[in-house]
Amino acid sequence: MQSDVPIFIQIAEQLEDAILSGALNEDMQAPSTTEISVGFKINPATALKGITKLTEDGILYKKRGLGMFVSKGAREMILKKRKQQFLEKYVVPLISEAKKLSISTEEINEMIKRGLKHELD
Amino acid sequence: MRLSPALKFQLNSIKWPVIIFYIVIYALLILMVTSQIILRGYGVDGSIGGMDMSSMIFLFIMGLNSFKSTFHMFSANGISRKTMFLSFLITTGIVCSGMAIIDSINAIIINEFVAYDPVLVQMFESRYNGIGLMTYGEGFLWMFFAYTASMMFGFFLTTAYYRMNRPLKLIISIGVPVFLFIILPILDAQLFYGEIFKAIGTFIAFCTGQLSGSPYVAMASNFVFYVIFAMLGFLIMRRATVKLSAS
Amino acid sequence: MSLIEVKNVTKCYGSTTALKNVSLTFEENKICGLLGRNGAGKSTLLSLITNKNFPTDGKILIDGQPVQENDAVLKKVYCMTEQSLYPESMTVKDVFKWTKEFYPEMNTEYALSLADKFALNTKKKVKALSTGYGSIYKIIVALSCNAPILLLDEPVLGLDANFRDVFYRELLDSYSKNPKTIVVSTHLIEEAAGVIENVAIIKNGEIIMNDTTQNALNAGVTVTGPAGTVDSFIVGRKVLGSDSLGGMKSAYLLDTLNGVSVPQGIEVSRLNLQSLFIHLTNS
Repeated sequence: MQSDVPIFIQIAEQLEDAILSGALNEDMQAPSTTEISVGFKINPATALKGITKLTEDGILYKKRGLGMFVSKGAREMILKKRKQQFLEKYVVPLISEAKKLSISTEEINEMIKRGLKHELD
Repeated sequence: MRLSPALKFQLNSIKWPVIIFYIVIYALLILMVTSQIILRGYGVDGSIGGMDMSSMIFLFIMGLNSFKSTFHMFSANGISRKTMFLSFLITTGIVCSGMAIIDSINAIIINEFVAYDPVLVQMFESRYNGIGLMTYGEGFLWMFFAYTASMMFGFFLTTAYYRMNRPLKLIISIGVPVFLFIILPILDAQLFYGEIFKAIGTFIAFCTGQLSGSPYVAMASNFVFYVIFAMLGFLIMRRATVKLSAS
Repeated sequence: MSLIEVKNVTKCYGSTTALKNVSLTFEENKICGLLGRNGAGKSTLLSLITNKNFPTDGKILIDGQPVQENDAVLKKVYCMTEQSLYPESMTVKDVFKWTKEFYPEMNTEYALSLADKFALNTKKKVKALSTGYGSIYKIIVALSCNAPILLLDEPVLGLDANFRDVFYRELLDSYSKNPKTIVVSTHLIEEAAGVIENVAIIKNGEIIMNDTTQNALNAGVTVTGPAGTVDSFIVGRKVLGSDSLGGMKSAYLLDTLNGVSVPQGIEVSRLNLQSLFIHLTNS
């Protein structure tokens, strides 16, 4: 648990990661507040806050009497959100850092190509 | 009031000591009765007595043991001091009457084998010509009041001790015996011509009914002591606290 | 109903004042952390709430009723104390048995299953338990007694990391399924930080903070960067304290920095409960 992001957001993100990876599929039941609370050693109120956030974002929905389930299209929603975050979290700092170090656009593109190649190797 | 679990606990705490006490008593009695019977065979006639004195001492010691661990246990389980005191009163009543009954029955049984004088008879010989039902009846009553007074005296002492801090305990533990057995006699002999001890003696004689020859005076004074010790004990324990360990 | 109200409580021991005019409410069915350094007054406060001792001034109410000598209200509370109040020669099994007598709602099967989880031999006598197990049997009683109010005084004292883990998880499991009012008094902040919803900090017998953990952490920020930059930035701001290493410095500010632009090189991050606590309680 990092200390610079509120815990309930970390919980929401971890559940999103689970949905992205396929561990949690659409219409599958999400972990209960008790399970999250015990699993992460956090107060159930915080666990609930994380779930509420995901519900507000449309990622989870409530089935009365049964619990929280993963919405249809949740994966796409998360991917879209993460892509936007990718821009803010990685691209913007990359450009700012590159400017600081006077790295040219061509050099940046070269580095990206090299990185991608290594991944494919 | 959560009297029921509190009472259960206190009675349970005293159960085994009472059982062991009677095992010892019965063993002693068998020994004493057997030896008397043997001696009688040699023409020696004797009597045994005073087993109820042991009961008094035993109950006094039970009273002494009753405070600290019970108080801590009750504090840990949300029982107020009021409830604790009330359950102690009831426990005293039950245990003392129970033991008085047992001791009276013992007296009856022993007298089948050997001449046995309970303390009561030893104290009021002139009143009892031989031993009859009346004796046992009054014996039971006398025992009950004597036992409850002993137990409550123990309770009062242990409660007072619990509330004293170390220096005070030291002063009392040394001071009281020194005063009673050294200072007072000297004072009495030198300044009061022995009047103090005479007064003390008269008071004791009165309380134990010797002066009047009536065991009922003894019972009444035991009861008065019981009430006094109970009240004092309660007043002291009302402000008793569970001390925090050094943290 | 399980609301605890401490109203203007002062406790003096002779010339020492252990608690000074403490006013505090422990909200119903929430987990509250009572944080303080050794000797700050946590145990004293808990002993006053449970009628083990009496306030010199002020009063304590549970569900609107005064606590003092009140059996009806005291039976709703189970307090796990640091010291052992059970008879030394009593076995753990008997402790469970008697707890059930005094707290009829107790779940004995759960207690025995917890004893297994903690590898506790219930036939052992209380006096024969080592430090860690001395805490464990009391934890088990607290978790299984089903009293509406639980007060835990340094529950994890002497517990190894594995058992501390088990404790927190069992506590949360029990609380999540059966909400109750829980007060955890501790000086081990880091582990407890995620678990407690409200936090009350006590320093030298006085309450210096009483809020939700969220608000406490949102009340300030940590600014980290080169020492010189940080120093000039924090001028005129409410600084709780700071840590330095090499040329870098972290300053803890009681300031939300809303709308304040932060100079280059300075990183702003959330407050950490442990640093907040340490700096608030340093004299």
